[in-house]
Amino acid sequence: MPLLTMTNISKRFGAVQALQDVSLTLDAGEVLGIVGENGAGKSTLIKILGGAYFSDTGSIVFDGESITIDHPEYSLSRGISVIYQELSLVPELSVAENLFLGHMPRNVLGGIKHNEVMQRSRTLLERIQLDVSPRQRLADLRIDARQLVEVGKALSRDVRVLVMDEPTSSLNEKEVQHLFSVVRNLKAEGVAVIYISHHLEEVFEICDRVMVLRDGKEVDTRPTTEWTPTQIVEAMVDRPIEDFYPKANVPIGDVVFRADGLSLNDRVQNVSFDIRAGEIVGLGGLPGSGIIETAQIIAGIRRATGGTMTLQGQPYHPQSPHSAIQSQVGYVPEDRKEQGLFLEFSIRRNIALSILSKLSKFGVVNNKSTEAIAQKAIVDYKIKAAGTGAPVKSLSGGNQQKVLLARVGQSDPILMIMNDPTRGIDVGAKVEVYERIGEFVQQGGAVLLLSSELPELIGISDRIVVLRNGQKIADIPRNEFSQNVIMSYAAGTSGGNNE
Amino acid sequence: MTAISQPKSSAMNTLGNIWRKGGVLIAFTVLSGVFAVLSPRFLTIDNWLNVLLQTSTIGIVAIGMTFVIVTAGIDLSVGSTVALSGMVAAVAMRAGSPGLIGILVALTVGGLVGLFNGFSITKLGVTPFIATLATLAMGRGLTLAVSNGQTIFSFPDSYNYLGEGEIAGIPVPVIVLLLAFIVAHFVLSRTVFGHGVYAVGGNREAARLAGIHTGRTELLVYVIGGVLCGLSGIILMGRLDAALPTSATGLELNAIAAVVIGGASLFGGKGTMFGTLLGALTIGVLANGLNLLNVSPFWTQFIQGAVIFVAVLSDSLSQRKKN
Repeated sequence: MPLLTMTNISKRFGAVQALQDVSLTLDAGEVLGIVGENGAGKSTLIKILGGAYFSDTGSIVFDGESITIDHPEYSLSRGISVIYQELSLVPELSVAENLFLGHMPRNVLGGIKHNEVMQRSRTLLERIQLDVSPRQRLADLRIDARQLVEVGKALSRDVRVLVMDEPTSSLNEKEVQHLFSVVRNLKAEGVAVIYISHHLEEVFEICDRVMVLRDGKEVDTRPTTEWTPTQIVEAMVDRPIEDFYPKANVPIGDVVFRADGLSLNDRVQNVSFDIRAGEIVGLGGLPGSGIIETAQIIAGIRRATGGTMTLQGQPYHPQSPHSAIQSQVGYVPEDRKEQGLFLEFSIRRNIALSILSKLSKFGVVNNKSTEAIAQKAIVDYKIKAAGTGAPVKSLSGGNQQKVLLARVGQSDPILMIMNDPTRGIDVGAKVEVYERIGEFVQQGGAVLLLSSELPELIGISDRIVVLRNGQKIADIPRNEFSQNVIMSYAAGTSGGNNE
Repeated sequence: MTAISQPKSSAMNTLGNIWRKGGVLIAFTVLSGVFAVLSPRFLTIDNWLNVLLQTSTIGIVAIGMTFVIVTAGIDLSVGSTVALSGMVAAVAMRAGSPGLIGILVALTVGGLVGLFNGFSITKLGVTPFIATLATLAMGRGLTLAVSNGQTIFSFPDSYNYLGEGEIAGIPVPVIVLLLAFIVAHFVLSRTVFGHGVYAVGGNREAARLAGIHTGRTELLVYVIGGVLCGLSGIILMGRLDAALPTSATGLELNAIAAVVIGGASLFGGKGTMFGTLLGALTIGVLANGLNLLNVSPFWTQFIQGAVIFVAVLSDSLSQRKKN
């Protein structure tokens, strides 16, 4: 009998069906891998198991007993521990205090049993093969050691099911092997492990079975030996590319931007590529591949540690987002609420912000021309709003995104860096965003596109540059695009040999 | 979250919103109406000029505080800065400087303190609360040091004019106060700098990515605050014809209160100069009216505190709704 059985789990958030009838079984001493694209439902599934979400339908049987997980504390009490991507440790506390966070051994008077804490901490540290003092402050440990402390914290509670969500995203190869050796020991002790990762080679190394999720549904679950990497990639991404990617036929012109040997410590290593007028270049790669950093360097948010850039043949070295904008390089950040917009402010104020100096004389903003600019943007970008004075927070996600695009468009960019420009907006609004991008390149603009959705990257790019571990792995022309090819470059099942 | 807490919190949110939309105007009108009914002297021109005169020192400092608070900052050092700038000018004039130089000295000292605050916050990364708390202590200490703990008396008329002069029967401090508000209102609502101030407080990261010089904007805000403290110090000294090393102690509390009662959010991005003027006047009217009604000054202080509490509470409530 399996240790854990989840049957027909469904979860809906508003209009989004995050999970639909997903079932899984897990035996003691087994490692189950769960893979899928962003938004496939992996995180939702484990959050239900961890008690962070409550499923709409479905049942869970644990240890032969039907259970209802209605609170994180309940999962913990049954020995189900989830290690989320964001570490849940307190940097200012000691290793021992973190290991027993929330359940310090106490004596009858409520005082902490220091000797017991130290002794049990040492045992736990031995189990996770970490050679540090329990008294050491967590903040002084390296990131891989902290990841192990997170595992130790789970072990401090007699864990029977351990769930790990992308535990290796900030670890190097050696550190990954250390973590795996800890996982193998747990497995031998009979602990069941659910392992979520984007990195297929890791999944193949550590998992006994692999389940693939796509769009909230289970595609297939097989023993690892019955999968090939290609089959997994196909199962993850195989869906028709809807023809909602309007792709205008735009003549490709001269080189607008060129990066030569761009580096940022070891996160971006010697990356070179160019973008031409009228061209949309996709930048593909998994989290940690260096694509975000590359985009940020070009947008002036981070300073490169090596390499050179040119913009229309001139040396280009942005010192700040301001100087990038002055050089006509626009940046659409991935998180419109945190990094893009001023939700409380009016549409007008949001749109005019980057060009205030153009709209002003002697430092005084001309309200009339600001209003005119905003009026025009509402029409050009098809923003549905009560007026230019409406606060941005009153708009739908799609219309908010259009306001952001309108602001970036105001400063006449010749190169636009778009980081996930359609994240979290509905299909109709997505198509409108693609149309605006199409218009921009038709007028000779150049685009560098990052996207968390592979079909989108494939749908509208002319070329896709793939990075892995900070290095450029491939530069793929449009006629060779397939989700398969790009995913296998990004995940490391083909191309390059830098492992 | 749960069904039970829903109605209660939405009622509280409504309270927050009402205050935000015009609470200070309502509070100010109601207070004035009550005092007008209870005291026949309240509505006389003399009394109103008196309220404005009493408000001038706090009001001018509150202008600078508004800029600072709209960037989501805070300046606790204003009381010390007022005293220090006035005292350094007093020392200079005792040594023989003419009044005009005294005025320049006071404004410069105020600006330098603001520059120091701005530098610690934007370049050294100290949080505004801590940075200006330190300046509060250092400023007061310097004031005591340069004056040797003594009060300095008697300044040139050209210096005292800003504090005790009159134009057509209207005290000069009142005119300075109203002029300063008009200029500040224009700067905050109409200039590129003013838009930047709102942007920095509304969403710092988004402002930076949109090409706003967030550091420069913040630095300037503290410098403006400091210069206005210098101006306030000149008026305070001029009215007394004396510089006290302990003057303006605790001024930061009333200045911050005026801004928050005026509808600005301590979380940044929100606030107007008009609101701050009304906030400062509300505090002034409250003190004046309670005084006319012979309420004990102890209770006056309590009631002022209660008004501040309601204003800050409504700010937190509307913030909670946002999240």
